[in-house]
Amino acid sequence: MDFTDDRLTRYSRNILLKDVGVKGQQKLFNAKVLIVGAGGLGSPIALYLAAAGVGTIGIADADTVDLSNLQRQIIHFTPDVGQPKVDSAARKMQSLNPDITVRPYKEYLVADNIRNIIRDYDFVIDGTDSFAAKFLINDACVLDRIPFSHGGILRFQGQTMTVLPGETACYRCVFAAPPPKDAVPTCSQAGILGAVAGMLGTIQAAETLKFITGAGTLLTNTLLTFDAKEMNFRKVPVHRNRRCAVCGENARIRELVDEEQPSCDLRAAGAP
Amino acid sequence: MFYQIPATLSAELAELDSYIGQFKRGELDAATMKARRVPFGCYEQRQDGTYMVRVRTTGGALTPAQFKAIAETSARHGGSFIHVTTRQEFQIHDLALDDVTSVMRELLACGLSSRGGGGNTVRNIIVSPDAGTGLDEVFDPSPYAFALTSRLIAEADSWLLPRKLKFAFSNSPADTAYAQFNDVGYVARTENGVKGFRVFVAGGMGNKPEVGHLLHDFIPASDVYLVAEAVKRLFDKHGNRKNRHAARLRFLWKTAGEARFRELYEQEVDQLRLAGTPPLDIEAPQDAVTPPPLALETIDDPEFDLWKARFVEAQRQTGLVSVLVPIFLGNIKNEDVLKLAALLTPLGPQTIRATFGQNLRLRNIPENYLGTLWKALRNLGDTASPSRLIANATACTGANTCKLGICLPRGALSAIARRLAKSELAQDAIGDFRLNLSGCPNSCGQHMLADLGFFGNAARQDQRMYPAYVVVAGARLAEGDARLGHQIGRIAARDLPPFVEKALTLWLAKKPAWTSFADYFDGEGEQELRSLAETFADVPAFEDDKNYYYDWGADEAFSLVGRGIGECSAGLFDLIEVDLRKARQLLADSSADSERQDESLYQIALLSARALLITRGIEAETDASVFQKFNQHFIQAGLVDKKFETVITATARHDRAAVDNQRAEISALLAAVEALYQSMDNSLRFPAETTKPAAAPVPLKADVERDYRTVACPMNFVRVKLDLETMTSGQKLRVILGDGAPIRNVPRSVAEEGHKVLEQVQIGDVWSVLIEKS
Repeated sequence: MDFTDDRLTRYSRNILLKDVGVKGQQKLFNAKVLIVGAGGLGSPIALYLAAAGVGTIGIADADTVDLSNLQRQIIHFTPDVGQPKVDSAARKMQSLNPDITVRPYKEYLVADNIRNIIRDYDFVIDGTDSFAAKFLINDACVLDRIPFSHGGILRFQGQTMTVLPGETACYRCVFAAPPPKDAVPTCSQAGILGAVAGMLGTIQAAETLKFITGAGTLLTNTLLTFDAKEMNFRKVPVHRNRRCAVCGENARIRELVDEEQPSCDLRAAGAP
Repeated sequence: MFYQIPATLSAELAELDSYIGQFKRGELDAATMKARRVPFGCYEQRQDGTYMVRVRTTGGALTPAQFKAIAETSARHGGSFIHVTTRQEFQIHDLALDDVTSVMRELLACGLSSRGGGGNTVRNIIVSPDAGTGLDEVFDPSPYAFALTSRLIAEADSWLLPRKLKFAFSNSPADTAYAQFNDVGYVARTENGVKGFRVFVAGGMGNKPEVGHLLHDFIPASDVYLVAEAVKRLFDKHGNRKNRHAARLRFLWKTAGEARFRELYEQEVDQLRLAGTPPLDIEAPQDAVTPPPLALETIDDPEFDLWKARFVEAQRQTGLVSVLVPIFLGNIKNEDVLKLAALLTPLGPQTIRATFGQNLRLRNIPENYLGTLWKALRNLGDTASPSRLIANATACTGANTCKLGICLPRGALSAIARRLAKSELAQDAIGDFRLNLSGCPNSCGQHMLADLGFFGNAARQDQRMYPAYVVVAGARLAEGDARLGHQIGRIAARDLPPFVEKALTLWLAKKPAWTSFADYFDGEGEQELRSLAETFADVPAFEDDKNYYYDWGADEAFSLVGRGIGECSAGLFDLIEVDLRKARQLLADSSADSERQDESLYQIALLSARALLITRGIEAETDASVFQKFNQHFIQAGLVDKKFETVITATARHDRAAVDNQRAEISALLAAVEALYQSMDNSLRFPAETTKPAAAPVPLKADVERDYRTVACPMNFVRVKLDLETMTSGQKLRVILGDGAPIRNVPRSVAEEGHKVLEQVQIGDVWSVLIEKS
């Protein structure tokens, strides 16, 4: 990557940061990040990563843009309704930053294909809305030792943690298995304040940029939760679990299976 | 408690305060500041501007109250955890320079000191972790270690030695305190009912480990101080102060010879006896306290039984037991320390010791409280351990925080633990086994004393470096039988986990037939392990498997560039010597067979050109760039004779005819590079550089010049950052900046990033600023 005048100007606010600098920008160019879900979380994530100059961004989602998505999925615009989400997202990202390579995956990530896809990436971001997908992404990333950011939102609340497989607590260390069917509503039933999706997605994007550049301290072994109603933010320390089914001492999960989907939402790896 | 702190420490801390003040005002240079703070056990961490304080705890003994105080101090000023070292000390990390003396004052308030935690001083005195409780001990040497500490740290000359001086006390002939691997080692024994010690001297680990020599077969316990003081004075007077790499007591033994060493030693002893040196005041060891007011828990759980089998040891005091608490990699969270201290407080002051495996060993625990303790320990963060094997395995901090580190042994040990946990290996059947890793040839991870040990090393495949470990095995510790491990091979860091798994599997199968691992090693083990290491000889090319080129837990490809210059360059020296040896070998082997000679000569020229590039912070990726950089940084810089330019350019072009006739020339080139290497000092500088007239009054020369007078803020600074990025450390950049905001902001920002602004001069309406890259 040559630092042409345009690039120096475009990325000047990154480069000015002591913790990023020219080296950090180079790392961003060289990085490959996969965003799972082009929805409420995926929208701000995709835009910020593209803007920051993350060199290769994969984005996976099999859905098409629905009118009800536009309230929070800010990468999609009214004329995009009916279009595949990944195409709509890729267009915006490419138009925001022609420097980068966007790889759209118009498919659901399931046990059969996820490992083949994530293997090519340095970092994965979970922007999905189903527990099944969250556990699938966790297990796949742990098995392939790919660091990732977990994220989840509901109504006014959000939670996220960053996982360095083998080193720090994974999602399954904290939550052993998906909750029973219908025990927790999905966004499509419960509702979500659009800006809350933006808040959490933006935190995940910041974690990703920190991971790539090595700046600061990651949300590892830490579950960050917030409630936007009261604007309470809390960091909950979590630990690796020796009995974790995927990263513990006698891990029983050695290959992936698709967990059963909650009955109200049959889409895997869709978006909130 | 345990040792007495001299009254002078307060005044010394005030002095340290004033040095820190001067340093911050720019009145004291970094090297002097370092020399002032290190003897106080204060080291800079790998991250600039962040410091660590190493607390002296003789034999790793602490009261629960002191343990609590350390954690509170750490929480107040430092990081989230406390580190237990391999020499039974406790470290507080991530401190700002401003907080260092506050930390030391808080330590002082609870009877602890960090004086002698580093530098050329009397260091922490170590003691067998089971001293006072061990079933096999002759007697408890701890009171002697405590009293010796109190006496030595009150003597001003303990802080101004030629190099560090380390003492150890073992409670039995098994030498569980490495007495034979310290400068002065005492091993408890009795003669005719009199308590005393066998004394070893001039042993040590470090870069060039050595087994100690027998100084006295027996001294009565009343002479412990006399011996220590005599050795200290002898070392003070005759030790080598010029070359810190050959300064430890063992070098004095070598250069003076045994007879002369003994003669000098006897002179000191005689003088001390004449002066009427009093023996140490020994406090009788206190035995355990009355049963504590803790709730008793009875537990019926197979996990509890497994834990007991793994970590609970009988004591010679009936009804009391000792409990090993594994601290993974020696780091224990502040809040866990607080919980543990609260739990131990009712059990009395004599309950905590540290081990050489960076763990805690709780002692004097009433047997019927084990259930209570187990429950409490389960609630602590990272103290759970998969097995005794992994609990006792030791890894130094490595390149994570240590400026000397080459590899990341902690990451490697974690990877080994993961691998073993997933394997079929019956870890509990292995019993006590010393698995030790160090990040560099220095022995902080005690690899030379391991059953199976590793030390970090840099290796090369094509032009690329990858992290590797040298495998050492078969050390023996017992008194009179001690020996260091033997090197049996070298493997890529990546292959460490499978290697360890296979080696332990081998051992487990053979274990019933042998009394110890060392016996197995001497019998058939050495050959088996060598063969095993050879199966890992192949390292894939970078393009085929990048993993080999990333160290465990590292997110950047392995490199030594920019590492440890001026501190310890063991890793660099290693790489240079490998290249030069190989070149020499090729030259000796190159035959009359002209086809092969061509290729050999080319390789010799390449190795000669490459060997020293790393001292300039250069890693060339292709052969062509090796030659080009060598020309630029060595020939054009005047370090190597200009006459070699022709042969270098010809070889670079792979000009067969040119190479063919150049045997004499290439051999001379190799000799020139070897001579240059010999003349290099420990800061990787060559005489030609150091004797150059420094900073002449003429305008300083810049390596790169840029004119940014028309570039506004902040893009001018962005451009300067980019320019600096392409330069090597120490090179100079001259930039022309506009008046006003640019000259007010850019030099300041550059300095904030750690570079040096050497001069800034106004020329008409612009400024010329000279920057030296850090």
